[in-house]
Amino acid sequence: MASITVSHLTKVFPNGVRALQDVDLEIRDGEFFALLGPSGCGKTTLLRTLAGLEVPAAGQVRIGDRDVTRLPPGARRVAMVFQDYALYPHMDVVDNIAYPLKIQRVARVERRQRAAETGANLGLQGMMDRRPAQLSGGQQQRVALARAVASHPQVFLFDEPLSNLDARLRMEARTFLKRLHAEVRTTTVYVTHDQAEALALADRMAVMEGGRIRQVGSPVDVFHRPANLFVASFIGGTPMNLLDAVVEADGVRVGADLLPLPPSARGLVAVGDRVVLGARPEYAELHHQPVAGGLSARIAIIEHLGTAYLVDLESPAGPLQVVVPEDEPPTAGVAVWVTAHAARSLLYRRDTGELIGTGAPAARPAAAVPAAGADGSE
Amino acid sequence: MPPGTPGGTVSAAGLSRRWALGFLTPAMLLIGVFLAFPAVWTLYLGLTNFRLLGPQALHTKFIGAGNYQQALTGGDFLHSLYITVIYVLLSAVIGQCVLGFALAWVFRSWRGPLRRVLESLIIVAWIVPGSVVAFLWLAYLQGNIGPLTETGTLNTILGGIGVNWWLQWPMLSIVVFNIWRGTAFSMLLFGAAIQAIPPSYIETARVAGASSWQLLRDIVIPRSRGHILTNLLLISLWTFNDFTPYLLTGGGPGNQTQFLPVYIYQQAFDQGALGYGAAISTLVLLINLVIALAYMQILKERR
Amino acid sequence: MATTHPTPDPTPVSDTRWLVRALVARVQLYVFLALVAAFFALPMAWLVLSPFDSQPSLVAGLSHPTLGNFQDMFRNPAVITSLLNSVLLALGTMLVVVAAAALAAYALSRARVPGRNIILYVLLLFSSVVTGSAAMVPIFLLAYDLHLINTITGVILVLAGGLLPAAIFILKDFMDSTPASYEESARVFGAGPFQILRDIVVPLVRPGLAVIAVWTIVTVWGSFLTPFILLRDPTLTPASVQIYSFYSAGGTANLRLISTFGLLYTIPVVVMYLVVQNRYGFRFYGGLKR
Repeated sequence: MASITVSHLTKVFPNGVRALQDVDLEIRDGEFFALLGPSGCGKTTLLRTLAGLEVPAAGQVRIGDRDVTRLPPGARRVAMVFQDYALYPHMDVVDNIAYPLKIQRVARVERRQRAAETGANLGLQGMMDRRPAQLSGGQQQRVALARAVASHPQVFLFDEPLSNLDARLRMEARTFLKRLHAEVRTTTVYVTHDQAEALALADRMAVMEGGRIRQVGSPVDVFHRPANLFVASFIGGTPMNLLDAVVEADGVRVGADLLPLPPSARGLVAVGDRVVLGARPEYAELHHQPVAGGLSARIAIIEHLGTAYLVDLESPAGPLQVVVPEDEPPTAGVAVWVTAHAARSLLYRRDTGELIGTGAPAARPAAAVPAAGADGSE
Repeated sequence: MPPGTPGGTVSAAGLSRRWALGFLTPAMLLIGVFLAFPAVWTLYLGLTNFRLLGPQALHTKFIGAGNYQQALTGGDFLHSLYITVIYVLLSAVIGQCVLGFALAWVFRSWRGPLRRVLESLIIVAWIVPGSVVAFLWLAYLQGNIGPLTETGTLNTILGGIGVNWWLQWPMLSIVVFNIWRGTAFSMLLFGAAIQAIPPSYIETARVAGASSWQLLRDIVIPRSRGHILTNLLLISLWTFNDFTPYLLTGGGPGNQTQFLPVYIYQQAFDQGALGYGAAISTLVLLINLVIALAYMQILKERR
Repeated sequence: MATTHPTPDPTPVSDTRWLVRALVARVQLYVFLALVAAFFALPMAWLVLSPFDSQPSLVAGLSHPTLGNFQDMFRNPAVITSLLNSVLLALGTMLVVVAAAALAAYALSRARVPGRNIILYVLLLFSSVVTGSAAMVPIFLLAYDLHLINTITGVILVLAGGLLPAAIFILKDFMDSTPASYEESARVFGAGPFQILRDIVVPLVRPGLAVIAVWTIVTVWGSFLTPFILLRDPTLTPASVQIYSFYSAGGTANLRLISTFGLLYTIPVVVMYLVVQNRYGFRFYGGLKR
């Protein structure tokens, strides 16, 4: 069993920074788990604590069924891949890959053979005699991976391993990693600041901020039902529109307009509640005629995205964005009305920033309006 | 190029060659007269039987290789050379280097006040002036053979052992002294070298389970080879040419600690044989040069 | 790709073994550090304690605490004179070295002097090979012929000659890393090289100059061999030679004098180190300190 359990983990640095504040986390055996967040959120500190490179001020780490909190890194049977790969320049590729086996006192001939096999499995055959400096960035990354794989760990720990690659290579490496994980099925913890990467690779992920976990869930959960305003604004290629609103009897008032109440919040709010309405630009529509339940706005800027347009709008309620398909090119300066797909809209409490409801429509009372269909069945 | 600049080529900052040479003159003059010239003059002097006083002062004879012959066949010089090499090997190459590296390694990730205090202790041992340090060690290792000699601190701590370290174990005493004196430099140099290794290199190995010995053997030392060699070169030359032993033992007892600097001084100034002293000096210069070139060669190969 | 299966979990026993190993390593570390601390501190204990003891022995300790030794020491004329001589030597050499090195380093850094790198490395090699002991004979004779025997000037010049190569090397490094754009703009305004050096370069490389100055002072302060050889007059000897004569003369050594004088002589250098340590951190960039 190589699940990971973290309980009440706290880490304070000598300069007073509280890098981790009472963190609890469960990672399942064989899972690809991403730690996502902006710089300084504590994700790397958490990873290093799992590795044993940082000692927590309080809390416990369990790997499998062993309490490893006080164990040194070498005793935990994990492997870590750093952002700069840490390939030893004075060793050739096969010795680099074989290094963990050398630590484990495997005989020279055997460990070089196993290293060569692992390397070949990752597409490195023919490069075994080279020095790391003679390899391309992508090849170096695979050597680092091979070294981690060769040590037969219970857990892989990755610290932003793709950040040093250029954009095209990064996509290839990402697919490579996903395939590797599908084959090997070793529990993997993966730190990144790139939310697209996390969404693409992870089985489940944790979004962190300021030393705390703000949400844990599958990529789908996190994307479609961000649990609070921070996650809502952090996740998504284009940021979610977040507009202040007030609940009224038959909807939410945004600026001067009345928009429909998202079904997920039905029954959970009272008239007069101050809320924030969240709607992704991709789930909004532009109308050139006034529309009931629409927000009036004026087109300010149009950005061409290739197969769509990203339209920046000014409205009395604030700026917002809408993604418009390419067959309806918009014109700047025009007045429009914006509707958001109600079933995919979310409501947040303005004071706490927490999501109202589960993001799915509440357990249906007998006579409820049928759900718009999309929620809960992604 | 600004018009009207005499003196030929002007560099970016406007320093013409004439000005540059002018700026160089004071330093080159000092170095030339007080560093380069004496070195060359030694070569010439070594071929004479010059003395400061007496008949040879007035009628200095060119005796060619006479001094060198005397040095290389006489036995004194060779003995001095031999013990100097042993001194350098034991106290610098092994002692200071190993202890300095060990301390740099232990201190590498330590920040606290304890580390600063210890480090300062070690460095202060290095910067206290030589003549003071010499007396401190004379007092420290003093034994009480016979009724009149006093006992030093070490013997008192060791519970009244009556060993007169300087008399009975002069070589050991002076080797230990030199290790104490010079370790700070190695510690600082290796500290910088270890800091220069990317932390991820070491952490990768630690996570793979490497013990400290394996870390040192596989990663730290291979990456620090250049620094190790540079350090060895510098401390070897310094120890080789160090005059402090004169203050400690004066070469004695007998000639047990008569290292080359002491030997040269005694021959040239106590005995007055400046020509012979110059010849030995030339030999020492040559040996220094050989050591330096040898190290550089090894450095080049290892790259 | 072949599948890899993690080897089965080790038994709990080996976990305790890891913890024990870590504990043992800790204990070993503390023992080592305690030994190191004792090794380095003990010989210096005498210097710190004996000046405050009215009846010091060779063993470090405080049998009769007093402050009277200092008064007595100052009554000894040789003490004051030699300390002043040390100050004179140190400051004098520092001025010569800083001035000459600044000029030379600037020239080597900014001008296209042919073969400058070779010059530097040869000089550096030279200065570490031709250290005092090996050149003491000809230096003595040279000073003799130039009538510099028994003069402070002679000692200053000889010491400066020995320290300059390293000083130039370090300063040139500093100057190389200072952008030339400031100098270029001054040039356009019509400033001459001396003006540029004085008004622009020197203020910019002040830290480098400070390093050289401190290093020179500390080195000269403790230098023994050159003054020992070149100075015969007892009123000219610096403290380093003076204190040696106090304890190498025959008869019983005046421990009160030696300890007090030694402490006083040592303090300036230690203070300088502490100041540098706090302001700049005593780290290495090239590593040259004698």
